[in-house]
Amino acid sequence: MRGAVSTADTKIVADGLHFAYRSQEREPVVALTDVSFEVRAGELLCVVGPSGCGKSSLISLIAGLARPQQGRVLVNGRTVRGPGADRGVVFQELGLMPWRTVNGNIGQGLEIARVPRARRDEVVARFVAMIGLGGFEERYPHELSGGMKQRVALARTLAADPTVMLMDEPFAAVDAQTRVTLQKDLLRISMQTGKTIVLVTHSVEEAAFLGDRVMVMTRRPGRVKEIIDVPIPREERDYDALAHDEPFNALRVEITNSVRAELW
Amino acid sequence: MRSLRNPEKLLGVLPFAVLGLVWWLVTATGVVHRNVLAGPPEVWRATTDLASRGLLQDDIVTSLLRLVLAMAVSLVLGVGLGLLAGLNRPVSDFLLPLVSFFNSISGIAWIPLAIVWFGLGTVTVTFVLVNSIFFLIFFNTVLGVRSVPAVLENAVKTLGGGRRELVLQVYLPGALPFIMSGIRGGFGFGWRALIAAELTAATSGLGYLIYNASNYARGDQILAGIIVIGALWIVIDMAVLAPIERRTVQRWGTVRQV
Ligand SMILES: Nc1ncnc2c1ncn2[C@@H]1O[C@H](COP(=O)(O)OP(=O)(O)O)[C@@H](O)[C@H]1O
Ligand SMILES: [Mg+2]
Repeated sequence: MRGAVSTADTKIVADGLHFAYRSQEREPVVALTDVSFEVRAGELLCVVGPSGCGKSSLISLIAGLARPQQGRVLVNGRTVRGPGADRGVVFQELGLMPWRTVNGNIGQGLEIARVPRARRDEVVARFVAMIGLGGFEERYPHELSGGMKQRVALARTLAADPTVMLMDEPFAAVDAQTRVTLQKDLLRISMQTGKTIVLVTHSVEEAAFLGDRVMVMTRRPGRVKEIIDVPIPREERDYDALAHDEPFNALRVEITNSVRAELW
Repeated sequence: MRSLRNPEKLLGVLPFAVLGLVWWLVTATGVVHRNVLAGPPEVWRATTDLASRGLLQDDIVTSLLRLVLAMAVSLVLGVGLGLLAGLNRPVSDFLLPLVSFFNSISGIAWIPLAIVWFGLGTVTVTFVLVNSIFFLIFFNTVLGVRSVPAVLENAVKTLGGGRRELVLQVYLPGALPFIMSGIRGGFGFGWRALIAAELTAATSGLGYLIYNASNYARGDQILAGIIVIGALWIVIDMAVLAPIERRTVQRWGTVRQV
C-alpha cells in the first residue's frame, strides 16, 4: 500500500507511518510502524487491536496532534501538518471544558470559528435537541452523567462541522444500555451527515456492528494486520436482527480470532 | 441580620465573644492595669471618636486602596509572567531561579531601600506590597497552567483554536483555581505587609494610625486600629474572596485542595 494514490473518493491516506514516543530518560517506545491504509469519503472505519498497540497514537497522527517520524497522513489529498477544524476528535478522556456549560462546550468550535452569536445559538440548540439534553443547557460537565458527557463531546465535535471525525473509544466509559443507544445515534448521524469516521474501539462487537470495514492492528509496535469488510448497509444495523445473522456472526468470530491472536 | 439566624455562622462568632469577655474581665477587674491594656469601653470610645472625626474612614480607604492597587499590579505581573513561564520551558528556566531568590526576601525587607527610592507614601507601600503578593500569584499561576490536562489543549486545537484561544479558553480558566488561591493568600500576605509598611513608610493609613497613636501613648487607639484591621480582613475574605470562588471554581467543580 506504500505510496498509495488517492482518488477523489479517498478521504484519508496513511502512508508508511512510523511513530515512536521519545523521551530523554527512557528508550523510545515505538507505537506504530509501517502503517498504511486508506479511508473512503463517508466511510466508517473501525480500528481494533490489543491495548497499547497504538490506536490512540494513530488518532493523534491523523488529527495532527503528533507528527510521524516516517511517512505521512493525507486528508483530502493534502499532507497533515498540524491540527485543524476539518478533523474533529472525540477524545477517550472527552476533554470537555469544566468551566463551560453544555451550551458553551457545544458552541466552542463555532466560537473559535467566529460564527456570529445568533447563528451559533441556533446551531447549538439544534445539537442539544439532537443529543436529547434539553433542560441541561446551563449545566456544567461535572453535573452530568457519563453518558450525557459523552453526548456533549460528540455534539461539540459535530457542531464544529469537520469533514473527518476521529473517535477514540468514545463509548468505553458508559454503561451497556447507554452504549447501545449512543451507537445507534452514531449510525443515524453518520447517515445524515455523510461524515468520514475513524472509530477506535477495544470491542470487537462494537467494531463489527458499526464499521463499514474493521481494521485489525497487531500488538505493539502496531501495524495493520488486516482490514475486514462488513458488507451490511448501515440502515440494516440492528443488534436484535444481527444476533441471528449467520454471515455477520461469522465475521464477528473472524475479527475476534484475529484480535485474540495478538494478545500475549 | 439574616446571618445571625444561621447557627453555623453564629458558631463562628462564639470564639470572639469569649475573647471579648476575657478581655473585658481582666481589664474591668483591674487584673491588668488600664495603662497596660485598655478595656473594651475605652477602645469603643476611641473607635467612635476616631470615626466621628472621619479619621478612621480616611485611613481605612487609604489602606484598602493601597492593597487593591498592589493586588492589581501583582495580578497583571504574576499572571502574565506565570503564564509565560508555565507555557514556555526556556522562560521558566530563566525566571524561576530569579523569582525564588527574591521570593526568599520578605517583602518588608525592602522598606528601607524603597524609602530611599520613593520616599514615604503610597509608592513605597505599594512596592513593598507587590514584593509580598507577586510571588504567590506567580508560582500559583505556573503551577495552575502546568496542571491543565493535555486533552483540553488538544480539544481546543482540534476545534481550530490557536494560541489566543488556548490561553483564554484553556490555560487561564484551567489555572484559575490556583490563581484564586494565590489571590486569597496574596491578600493575606499583603494585608499584613501593608500594616507593617504603613507603620514606617507612610503618613496615612491604618498602620500609620497605630504608629501615630503610639507616639501619644494612646493604647486605646492602637487597639482600635488593630481590631479594625482584623475585622476588615474577615469582611474582605467573606464578602469578596469567598463569593468569587463560589461563582467560578466551585461552580465548575474544578476547585482543589492546594
Ligand atoms: N506519552 C507517551 N510517552 C511514552 N509512551 C507512550 C506515551 N503514550 C503512549 N505511549 C505508549 O505507546 C504505546 C501506544 O499507546 P496508545 O496509542 O495509547 O495505544 P492504545 O490507544 O492502542 O492503547 C503504548 O505502549 C503506550 O504505553
Ligand atoms: Mg487508547
